[in-house]
Amino acid sequence: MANDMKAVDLEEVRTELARAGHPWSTGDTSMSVLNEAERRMRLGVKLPSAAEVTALVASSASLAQAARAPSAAGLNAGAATSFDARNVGGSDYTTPIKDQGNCGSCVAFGTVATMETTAAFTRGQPAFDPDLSEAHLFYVHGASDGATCDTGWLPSHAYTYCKNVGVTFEDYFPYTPRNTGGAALNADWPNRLARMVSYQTLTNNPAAIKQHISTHGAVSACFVVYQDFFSYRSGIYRHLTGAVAGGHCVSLVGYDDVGGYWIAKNSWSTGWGDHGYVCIAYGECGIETWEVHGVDAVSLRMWTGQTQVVGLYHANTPRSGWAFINGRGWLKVNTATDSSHEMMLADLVGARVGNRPVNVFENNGSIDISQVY
Amino acid sequence: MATTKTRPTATPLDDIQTPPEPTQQQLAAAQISVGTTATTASALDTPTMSPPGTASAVTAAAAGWLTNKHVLMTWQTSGPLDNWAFVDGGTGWKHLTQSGDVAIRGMALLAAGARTGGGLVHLNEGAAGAIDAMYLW
Repeated sequence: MANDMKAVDLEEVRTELARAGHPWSTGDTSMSVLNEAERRMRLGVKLPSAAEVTALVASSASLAQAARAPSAAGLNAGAATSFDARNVGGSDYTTPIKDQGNCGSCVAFGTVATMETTAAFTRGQPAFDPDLSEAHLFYVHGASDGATCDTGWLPSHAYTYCKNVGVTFEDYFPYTPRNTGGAALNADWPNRLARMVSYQTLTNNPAAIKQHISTHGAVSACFVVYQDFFSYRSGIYRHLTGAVAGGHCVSLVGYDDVGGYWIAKNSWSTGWGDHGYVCIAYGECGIETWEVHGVDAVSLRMWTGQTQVVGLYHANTPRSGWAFINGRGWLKVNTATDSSHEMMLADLVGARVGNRPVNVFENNGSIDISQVY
Repeated sequence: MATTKTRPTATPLDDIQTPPEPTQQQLAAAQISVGTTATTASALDTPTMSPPGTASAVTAAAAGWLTNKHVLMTWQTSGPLDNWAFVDGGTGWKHLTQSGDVAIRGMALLAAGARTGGGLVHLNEGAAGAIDAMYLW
């Protein structure tokens, strides 16, 4: 890489964009101002052989027609024709754009972004806004799997750790580029943890990808990055010019059948793309054909912090009490014994009636501990 | 000492707007209606409604549900499973669930909270006319 340190050739990109009718716009970005080695460092999905790259890009292109005309192909039954997790009935279920910095940790960022969106969306709680720790996923779980900033990682491996172990929150292990070794990880992390309940592999199936995004908020996907991608500012991206730079992982949080594109949340700061997002055309760069995964549900084990009881519920079966906690949705009241259930329910009813703040310890959809102020 | 399940006859002292209790004829008609639309017990185990005022709250208007009510009075005796709630909007006295001691104790906590705090309730009536599920907002 040392012999190729030139900046992105914006003039060449502009020429090709003009020739193609300006499908997207180019300009200086947080990536285009870096040198080539720094740019490639951020592409943390190891590319397969050149022949395999060619095959997965070609396969993606061949799927594009089906993705653009799903109803005609009968592939898209049940999914909406467009979806954007940033605006679902006026609610934004995504979390803020992050910056992976000078490290090949995009797999951790794409995976965590997908978990965050799904955790909020499946709860119907846009205010939840979870901030999970990419550092925990990459510098602890990834490191135990052999991943480094220089080697990158694979989503299939990251998902296994997210399901089997889980990921703590950012405040328990803040991310900084190349903070290896896990020394900053809070020892209490098992009590502040998000875990994938299960997940799906959706590679090569655009209809299933759309279905999952529209019902769970997001999926993660890998794709081949070409040089022109670094200077993307807005519009619907299609590769026009430049050589292969590497493999990258993002979170897809939406799609549009009319425009024929996926909405991807990147981890190159808000100084790249459209405030950190990119619209990638269906069938481009292997976006549908390389490690696409979606999370079914995210379980939590953590204190909510001071919040409010919005509502309560009880049915006609023993220990069937639930509390609707602001920012979390419905949580089942502790069911260890009849008396513990009733005492906690009484406390939560008191909090609701008296409009008192509460702090509850959520454990996989149930309240283990409640505290009323 | 009342030990049998007798429907309370009192009316709320602090709400002169409360309509008169339903006649036996109205009660019978209501129970017939409810009996054809009530949700099964298993479908009630998990809450599905959203808080009032949220985008998805409109699903509250499901069959078998009395929505956006208030509990104006509660009543309980020393008899088993003998907790009642007086519901506004012409609904009148409703028995809380008859499915067992543990379930009725939990529901009675919500009914008491509804009376004390004056919050909105959504109620699901079972085939026998008793409340089989309750939301308190």
